[in-house]
Amino acid sequence: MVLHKGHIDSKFRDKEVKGVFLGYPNGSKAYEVILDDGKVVEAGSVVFVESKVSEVLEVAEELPGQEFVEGETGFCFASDSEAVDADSDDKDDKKDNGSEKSADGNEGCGGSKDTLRRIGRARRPPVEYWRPVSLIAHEAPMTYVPAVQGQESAKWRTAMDEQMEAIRKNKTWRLTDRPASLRVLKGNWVDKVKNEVEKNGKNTTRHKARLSFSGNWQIKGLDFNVTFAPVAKFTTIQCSLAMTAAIGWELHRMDIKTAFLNGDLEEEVSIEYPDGFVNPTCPYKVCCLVQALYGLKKAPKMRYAKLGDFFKSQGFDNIDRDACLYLSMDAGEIIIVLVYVDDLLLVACSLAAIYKIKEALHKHFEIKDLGEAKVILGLDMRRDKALGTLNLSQGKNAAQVL
Amino acid sequence: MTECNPITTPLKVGLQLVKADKSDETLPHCEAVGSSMYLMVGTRPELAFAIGRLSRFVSCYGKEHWAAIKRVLRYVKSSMDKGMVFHKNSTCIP
Repeated sequence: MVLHKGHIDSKFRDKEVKGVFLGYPNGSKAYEVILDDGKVVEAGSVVFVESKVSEVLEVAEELPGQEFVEGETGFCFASDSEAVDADSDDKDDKKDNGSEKSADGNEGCGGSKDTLRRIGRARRPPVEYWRPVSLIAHEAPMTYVPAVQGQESAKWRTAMDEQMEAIRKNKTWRLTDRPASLRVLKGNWVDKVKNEVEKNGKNTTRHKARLSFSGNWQIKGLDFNVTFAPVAKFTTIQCSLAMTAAIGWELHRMDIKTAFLNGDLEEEVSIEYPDGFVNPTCPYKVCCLVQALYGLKKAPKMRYAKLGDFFKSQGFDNIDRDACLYLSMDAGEIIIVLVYVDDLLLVACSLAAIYKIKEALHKHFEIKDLGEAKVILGLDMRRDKALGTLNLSQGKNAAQVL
Repeated sequence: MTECNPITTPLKVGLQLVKADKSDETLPHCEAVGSSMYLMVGTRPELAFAIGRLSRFVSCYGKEHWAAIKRVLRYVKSSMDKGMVFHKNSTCIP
C-alpha cells in the first residue's frame, strides 16, 4: 500500500491517492506507482505504508498482463521480511498454475531474507492521457482533421503551409527509410488563433499552426539525456534596464522566429510525416530530424546551446551570475544581450553597436526586429530620453489578474 | 474583479489574520496570491508587505484571508498605471 502525494487536479491542492508501488523507472529518481484506477504514474513524493505489505502483493499479482523481472527493477520493503515471505509463499501455492514468471520472481526474493525484495513490470507509455495543449483554446480546433474540415480550413491550410515552409528552409529533417531499431514518433498540428493589433490600431486575428511532436513518447536515456535550458533571471533584466536608464544606452528587442526550430540535435530522432503533408512519391519513408522541433524534449536545450555558440563566435562572453547574459566589451563598446527563450534584449552604448549585432543575428537566424523595446515579459516600458527616465509598469498584466 | 471599487491601500491598517482551521478550497486564494506575486516581483515592490502577510496562509485560509487578498486586488486596480521608474542620475548604480 502506498500513499501517493501529488498535485493532481488543481494547482496548490494537496491530494493523496492510494496506489501500489511498482518499481523505479529507468533513469529517473521517482517511484513508479499504479493508482487504484489503473493509471501508472511516476511520483516523487510517496509515503510508504509498510505495515500493509501483504495487501500490496495481492493487488500486484492480480494485475493482468504484467511481467515480473528479477533483480533489475526495484520493489523494496525491507521491514518484516519474515511475515512478507510467508505471505508470498502462500500466494505462490495458489498461483502455481498461473504465470510461471511471477512464481519465479517471488521465489528468487524469498530465498534471500533480509535483502531487498524486487519486482518490476514492463513499461508502457500512457497514450490515452495525452492531448495536445493549445495555449489559447478559443475557437481553435485541436487537431488536423477538424482544422481542415471546419469553416476556416483555408486559413488553417495557409498557416500550415507557412510552418512547413519554415521547416523546409531550416532543413529540419531529411527523409530516410524506416529504422528498425528506433521508435518513430508521431507529429501533431497544434493550432491557435492569435489576436494581434495591426499598425493602424485594428484588431485582427492570425491563424497559427505549429507542428509539434509528442516528446512524451521519448524515453529518458534512450532518446535524450539532459533537457534543461536556462532563461535570464528577472533581477538581471531589471538590473540591465536600470543601467540602461542611468547611462542612457540604447535598448532594442528582437524575437527569434520559430525559436525551438533552431537547434541541432545530437541524438537521432525519427518522426512520421505530419498529417496532410505525406510525400506522395515515397509515402513509407520517415523524417529523420536534423534540427530540433517543438515538443521534442531536447528542443529548448539545443536552442540554448546553438545561441550560446553563436554569441561565443561573435566574441561575447557568458558571465557566471546568469547563464543567459552575454557580454561583449570591445574597445570601450559594451554590448549586452539577454536571452529569454525567444526574446532577445539588446543593450548597447551606441546604435551602431546594436546594428552590428543585429546584422550578425539576421545572418544566422530567422529573426524579427522589434525596434526599441516596448514590452518584455509583460512589463511595459516607456522611455523618455529627454528626461532620461525609463518607466516600467504592468498595467496589462494587472488587468489580467483582475 | 474588473468592476470592483478601487481603494488606496493594499491592506487594512492593523489587520490581524489567524490560521483558519480548515481551508475553504472553493476560494482561489492561492492563485490570487500567486498572480499578485508576479506583479510584486516585476514592478510593484509596494505590494511585498501585503503579499508576504497573505502568503503565510496559503495552506490554511478562510473568508478573512480571501477578503484581504481581494482588497489587494482592489488596490492594484486603483494603481494600474503605476510602476517603477529608473532615472538617469540615479545613485544606486555605480
